[in-house]
Amino acid sequence: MANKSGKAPMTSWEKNQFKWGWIFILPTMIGLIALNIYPIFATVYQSFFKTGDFGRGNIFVGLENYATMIKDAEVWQSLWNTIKYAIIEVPFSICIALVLAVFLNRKMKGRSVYRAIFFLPMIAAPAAVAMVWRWLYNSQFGLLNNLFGLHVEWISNPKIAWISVAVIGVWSILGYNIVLFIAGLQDIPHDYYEAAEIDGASGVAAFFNITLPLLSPTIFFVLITRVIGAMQVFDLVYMVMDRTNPALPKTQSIVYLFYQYSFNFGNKGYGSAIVMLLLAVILIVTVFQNIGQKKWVFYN
Amino acid sequence: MESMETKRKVTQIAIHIILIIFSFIMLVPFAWMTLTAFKSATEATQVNPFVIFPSKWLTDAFVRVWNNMNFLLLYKNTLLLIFWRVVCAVLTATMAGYGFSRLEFKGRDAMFNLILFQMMIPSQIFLIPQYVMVSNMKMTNTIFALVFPGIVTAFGTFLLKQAYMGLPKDLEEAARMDGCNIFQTFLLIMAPLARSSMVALAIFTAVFAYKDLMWPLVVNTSSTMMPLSAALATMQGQYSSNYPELMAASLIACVPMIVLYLIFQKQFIEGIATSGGKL
Amino acid sequence: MKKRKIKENMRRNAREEWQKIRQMDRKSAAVYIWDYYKLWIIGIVTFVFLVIYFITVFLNRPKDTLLHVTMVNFYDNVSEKSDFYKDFIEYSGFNVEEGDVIFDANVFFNLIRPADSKSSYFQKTIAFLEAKTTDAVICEYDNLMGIGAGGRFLDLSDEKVKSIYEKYQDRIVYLAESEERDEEVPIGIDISDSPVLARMNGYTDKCYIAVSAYTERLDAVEVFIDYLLS
Repeated sequence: MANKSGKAPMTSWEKNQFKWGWIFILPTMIGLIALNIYPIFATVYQSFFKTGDFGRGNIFVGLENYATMIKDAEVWQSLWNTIKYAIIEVPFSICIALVLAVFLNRKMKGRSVYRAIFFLPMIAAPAAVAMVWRWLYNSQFGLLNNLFGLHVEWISNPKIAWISVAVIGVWSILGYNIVLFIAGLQDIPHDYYEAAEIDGASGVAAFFNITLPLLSPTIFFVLITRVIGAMQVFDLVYMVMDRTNPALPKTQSIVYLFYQYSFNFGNKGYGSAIVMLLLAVILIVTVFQNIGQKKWVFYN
Repeated sequence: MESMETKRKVTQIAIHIILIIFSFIMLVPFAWMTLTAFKSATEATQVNPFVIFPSKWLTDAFVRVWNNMNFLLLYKNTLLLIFWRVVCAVLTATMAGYGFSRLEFKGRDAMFNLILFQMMIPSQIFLIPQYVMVSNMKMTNTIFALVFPGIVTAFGTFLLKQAYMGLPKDLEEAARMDGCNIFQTFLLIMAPLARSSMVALAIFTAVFAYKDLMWPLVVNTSSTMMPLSAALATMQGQYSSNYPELMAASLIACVPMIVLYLIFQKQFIEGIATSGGKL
Repeated sequence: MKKRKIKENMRRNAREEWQKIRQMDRKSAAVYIWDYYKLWIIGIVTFVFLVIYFITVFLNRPKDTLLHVTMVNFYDNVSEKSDFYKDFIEYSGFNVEEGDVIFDANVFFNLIRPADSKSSYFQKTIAFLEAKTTDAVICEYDNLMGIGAGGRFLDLSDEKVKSIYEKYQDRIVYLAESEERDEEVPIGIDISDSPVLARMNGYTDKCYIAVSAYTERLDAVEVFIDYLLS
């Protein structure tokens, strides 16, 4: 766009786009700035303070919170836990959901029944979900160990616990990803598949040659939002673990750490600094994804 | 020819088997909720993996819960919350998504980065500032307060933006040739084509509004303005160990969501699946 | 020039449209209007509805708050119909026409349980303290220490609450020193033997009242503490 310099006058078409573009995005932007952006800047500001306890007022400490954070092993351990969690959750939840969504998009018997079933976990009571997983993972009475005759300590062995937690994550996010993928699949015109069928392409070939490229904008969206969501995992760990659990330090997430500082310890300045670290990490990952998308995402 | 037929049948059956296995995995908590709701309070807390079914199917948990809680009022509050959040989110996101994907204007990319930026921040930091806003407006204990943080959605805007970007460009150009202005092109041509993403957004918004516990609890303390989630939490707080009652109440609470989902699925999703072929 | 032309055009279009509709019979006119103007109709109806809604809400806005007390894990009735409420209003002489007195007992958590430190009720309490909604919190020992550790209760040796401190000196409990604090902080007042609470089916354990570090209604809080221990 040559006109970005502002020197050449805008054509009427450009003026039109400018006017309508802003009209379209204005409601969202106003709401977002008032509801979210302003609190974010308040958080940034807060990260330079030490919260004054017991009604004594805040103290400006400059970059001290950040300096403490860089030396804090607990922060880095939590960040690493979160990244490990994301590495499991994101690819598995996306791949499984993609395959299931493709199946559910075929014309076949019982399709709407399956779709309804896959929707149900989203509205199940959290207490029920927690109970079921505790029961599955219990090392003495648990279903998994009893069914397969194992003696695995699913949630108290630090080496396995984070995988067990990530499995719950995959399970609970599957339904959402399926909804998104089905929506994306429905926008793919049927003609493409008919043409492929005439050419004698197999279902697998059609999946790789038609479905994947045409669905790539949706996959990209799910990938970006899932990475962000996984990095923000909060209380999944506490669904199945107690504070006495020896594996806890190896599974605690970064958002949980931030929460503890801000809500439980009342150290909001340090909590805000942790949020800034998380933000920086997510930002870097997202920027790389955005650069990478040019290689594989296909827009009409 | 025959071998292709059998091959097709085999794949068909294989797909069904995979779907059935996953259906089981997805259904476990729901089955647990249902079975527990029919158990007695002592039976429900036993930890024995092989006593799955209640020894006696009791229905008094349902009766007690229904009599103790004003479900009709709770349904009303929840449905109003869901309705307004879905309307606001779909409306603003459909418009903004179009602006971000198909129009070129100054400031667009900066604004879109703000949207992404918002998604990267853990939602816990918004609770207190947003509550202070509602409290300063003196709007606590209203439906407006419930809807408030869901008026706009960064997630939905991004979702719809991606949906528009997947649509072919020539449609728009044809519309412009026919003399449609930008708003008409959006309303008559492009928005209808993004319908399945709008439905996905509607489902997401509805589920999140239904499950949202934190916000209603903070902003609506009056028992007449509570949605289902907060009322269930209150019940859990008061009788924490009575699992049958809690599960019975949760099941009753799920009913409107299931009905809504079935309506959505029938009205929209199937309709789009057939019209999609005509493009 | 251009603007006037557009205006003329619009007027002419509207007149033509009106003529067209007048010539139709009632049913087809309704169908026609709905088909062509449904978005406008829905939009205007919604808008009018919203305006009416906001006006009614605005007119029914809550009054100012005179006192807001959060009562954690309190299982008795403290609503406006309860004896507790009526009794306190009578004692304090607060004019409920001018403002509200709120007792919020819809808060249940126990910070000795690890999962409860992220419970929604705990977050609600923190939000209410920081937003200056609540003025005082009544709770059991573990919760007092748990919330107190976040520094959201007022240091009772503060000048602002000198009269409370002097009156109830023998009842004060302290938050122990820790890595971050090198001194004990007085944060709670023991009200376990409160005759008012004894009449109710509230706490079985010892209970305490703490003052919010952010409150601006200290006088009302003092009246309430006096009432509890009268």
